[in-house]
Amino acid sequence: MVCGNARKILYLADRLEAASPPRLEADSHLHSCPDCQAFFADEEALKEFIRRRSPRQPVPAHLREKVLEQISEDDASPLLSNRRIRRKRARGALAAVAAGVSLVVGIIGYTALTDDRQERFVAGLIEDHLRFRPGASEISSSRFEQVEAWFAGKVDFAVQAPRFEQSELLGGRLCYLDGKKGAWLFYRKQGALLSFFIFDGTDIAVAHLRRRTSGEQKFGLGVAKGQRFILWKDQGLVYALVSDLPEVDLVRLASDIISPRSL
Amino acid sequence: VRVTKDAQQAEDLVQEACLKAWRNRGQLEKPQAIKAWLFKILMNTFINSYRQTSREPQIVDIELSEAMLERIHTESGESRTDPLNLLLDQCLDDEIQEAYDGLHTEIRAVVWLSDVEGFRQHEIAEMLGCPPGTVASRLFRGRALLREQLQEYAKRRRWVKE
Repeated sequence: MVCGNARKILYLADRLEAASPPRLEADSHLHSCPDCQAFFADEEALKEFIRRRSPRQPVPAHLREKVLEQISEDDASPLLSNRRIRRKRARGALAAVAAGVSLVVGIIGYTALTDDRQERFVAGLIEDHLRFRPGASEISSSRFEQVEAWFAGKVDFAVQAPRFEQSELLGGRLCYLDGKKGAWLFYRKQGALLSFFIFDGTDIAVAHLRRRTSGEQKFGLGVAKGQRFILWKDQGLVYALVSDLPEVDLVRLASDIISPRSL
Repeated sequence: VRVTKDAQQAEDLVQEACLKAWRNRGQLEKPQAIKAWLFKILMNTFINSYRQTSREPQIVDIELSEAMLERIHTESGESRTDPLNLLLDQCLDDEIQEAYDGLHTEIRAVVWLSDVEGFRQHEIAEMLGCPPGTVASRLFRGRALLREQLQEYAKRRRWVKE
């Protein structure tokens, strides 16, 4: 059996019987062919990558309400005259359909907000920070106004690039985390790379993180993959700083951002 | 949202699909198959709406052929998985999103149903009302296009050699 033939059979394998002669022959070919093993390992790696990097979004509360309201209205429709029969039938199906509603909502990539999602969000910040390369900027400039203007119309909030002391603004870009579009600014401070993220934070909680308070502001802090991060919410937005700078420096930088805003 | 690329459209479709599911709940034969049943309703709703309103060129399905599958070779039998993993790990979320959004809608739907939602090809074929071979072909093309696009990003940033 040649590679192309074996690959075709195995690619379509889920509709073939496991014990069919062509499948057995293709399996045998795969067992002895490093090229085909590499081909399927590659496919598997890409599949796993797509699954891992396709985050789900939380179910918007208004959508859940709308769906339930619609079902309730439909159930009250005068088309079915016998209410008692309808109620009896509906009761039995209600549990199944309620589960179904959740699943359908899941179809478009929505799932309930969980601690796991919060952890993924933080992990995403760290991973993005670690992936930074000079060529990753969509706007490369040390001019604050130019970088801020670049984000106008691209995100649903005004981006203010903080003027950190003894640091250089390198640029910025859009980033996507857990299905959310955010702003990502890059700085160089004391030789270290510093990432500053802003996301619409209406459904992002930072409660699971180690807490620290500075003035009236609460921060969430943590360390992952050798990088420190600090997160906080302010006026409906979530802010994050990620760097390998000492924690005390990150807290000071975050406080510097908040103080002028709070006045 | 992963399929429609539009949050409002996705919400409208979910509402419509939920209502259809409620009205047709008597047709659900096996409660354990509720997920596939609901996906089928949703995909039908989506495809009907998409075909009525889309200006995207119609997809030309190519049967999955041996030649197509043989075109991908590895050098001296070495697994490319490690370099591929390295490349993929360097990709930024918005690049992945852009590459994914760049796929034709009907290819994107298959990749999502298979690789994200974990449906088997025959289940997807039933949901989309097309032959399993078409699903396999779209899946192969979708993954190949994603890989190409992500490699293109990497080349631009000189992570990999031209």
